[in-house]
Amino acid sequence: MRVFWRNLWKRHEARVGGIILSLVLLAALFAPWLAPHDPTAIDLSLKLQGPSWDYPLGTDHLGRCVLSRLLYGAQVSVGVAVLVMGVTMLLSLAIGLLAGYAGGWIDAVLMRICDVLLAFPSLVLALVLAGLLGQGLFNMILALILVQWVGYARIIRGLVMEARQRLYVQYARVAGTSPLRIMTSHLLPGLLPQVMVLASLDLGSVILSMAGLSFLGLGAQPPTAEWGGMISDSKAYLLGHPLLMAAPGFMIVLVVMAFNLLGDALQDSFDPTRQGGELDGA
Amino acid sequence: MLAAASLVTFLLVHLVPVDPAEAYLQASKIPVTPSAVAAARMELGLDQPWAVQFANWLWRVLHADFGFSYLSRQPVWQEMMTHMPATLELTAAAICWVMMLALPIGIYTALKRGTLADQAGRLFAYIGASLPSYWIGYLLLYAFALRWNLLPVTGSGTFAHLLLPSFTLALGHIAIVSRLLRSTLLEELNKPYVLYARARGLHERTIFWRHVLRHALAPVVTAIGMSAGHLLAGAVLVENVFAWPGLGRYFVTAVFSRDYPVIQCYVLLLTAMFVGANLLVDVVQIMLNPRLHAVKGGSRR
Repeated sequence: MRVFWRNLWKRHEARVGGIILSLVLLAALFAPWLAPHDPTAIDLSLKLQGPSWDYPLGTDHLGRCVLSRLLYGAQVSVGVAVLVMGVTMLLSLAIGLLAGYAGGWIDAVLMRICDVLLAFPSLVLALVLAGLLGQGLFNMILALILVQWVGYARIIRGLVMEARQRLYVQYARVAGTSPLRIMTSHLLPGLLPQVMVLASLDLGSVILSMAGLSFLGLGAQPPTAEWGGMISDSKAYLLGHPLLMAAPGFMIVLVVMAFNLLGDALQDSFDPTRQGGELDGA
Repeated sequence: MLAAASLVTFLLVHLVPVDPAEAYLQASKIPVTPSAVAAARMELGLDQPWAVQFANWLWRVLHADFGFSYLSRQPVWQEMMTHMPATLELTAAAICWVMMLALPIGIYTALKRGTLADQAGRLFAYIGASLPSYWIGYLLLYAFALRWNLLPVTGSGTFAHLLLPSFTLALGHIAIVSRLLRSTLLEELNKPYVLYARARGLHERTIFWRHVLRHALAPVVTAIGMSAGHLLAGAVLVENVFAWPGLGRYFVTAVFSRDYPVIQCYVLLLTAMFVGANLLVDVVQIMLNPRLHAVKGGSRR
């Protein structure tokens, strides 16, 4: 494990990504202490002010402090994305393990469901689900999980089917270990590295789709501070106050890029034969 | 496949906690009273068993009859068709951008591997893949339309209107495709046939442009084809930024007003195009690569 971390640290993608993410996570955690103002305090006499000592990034159309909203927004944007990814992965692991290990009709039924769901463009499906369930943060989370699990379940199933043939699993079966125990204590540990890579590679895209849905008005509802919603709020003031638009989007780009960098680096460290990541090339 | 997809589309609306009859009344601005709900249920055929409803719905869908929009009371299919050309135009233009920019960037960064230009390409790829399309859309709008007055702000019609939205839509895909081309080119350059061609004394330029590039293009064609589907879906966000009168904007309005027939029609239509694009990629793939002729039907995915 020590070697793994050292290898990871050697890659500068991992260093850059890791540092950015740690900073953002710290900012999100300590937002109540770092933020100079209440992110939802409305004061129309202070609306649309430029940067000043009191308001380092100015104020929005309702006189709320942009910096404070960015800091609290990190809690929602990054926190919820991590939550979505965590639940999605648990669900995909359960379904993938079940389908891959049980095989037979269970596998056939689950995989046909996956086939059908994969035929839909995921952004559109998430939009429909979030829209039909009703606007709100919880419904958006639900919609994203329902859309995301499919692809991972499929990959995990493939990995399980491969692992099932291995001798240590065969041996456990002969020794009379219960299927549940084989899945949890023999198959699961081997899957975790790949699952971690998948999760970190895609966390960025989860943040992007979340912000996109919030931008359209689904997802986090006002007055909650959320980056996608902040972009949407500021579109009417684009001409006079471009900073209102630029700041939240810049944070999204920064965090998504950090996750992509870290994901690529993780992938390389787990699999030394692979040189470079998805965007990195040979 | 599409039959199963249509079942999901049908169920989507019926598994959601809000009754279609109530949604219909709200969208039509009729007060929601128990008697009105009952009447709407009769009118929409919601009093029949699910299986019958589905069979009826499927039968009508096969005849391109998606019913009437709750909001405008126009036939959904006709409205879809009036919005369709704008979205197709936007997507086609975005694909042009991808081909025009991603191919040269990919080739250039592969040839100049390890140089500053290559590093810049790498940075561009990382940033491009992390950009929220609607955000960059607004920034481009600010710079080109509001600040410098070079291009029209929103709407559609002329070529100048098309430039910003399509570039916005294409940007992320340009990053991914150019990087993919670079890595496949470098992979191909290491293959034995290149060494053989060099041994035959062929000019470096001939080797690269005639042989290597041709092989490296196959996965790129796949990527562009697959991105066509994603571009169609991604148009939802971009159309809302630029007030582009396409399917995506129509659909988002429908989602907010719970206009179920429109939602169903859009989802089914887009899924059909998505699947169609992927199928087309497979066909082109076989045409490009003679080795796949032998295993006809052996899908690469």
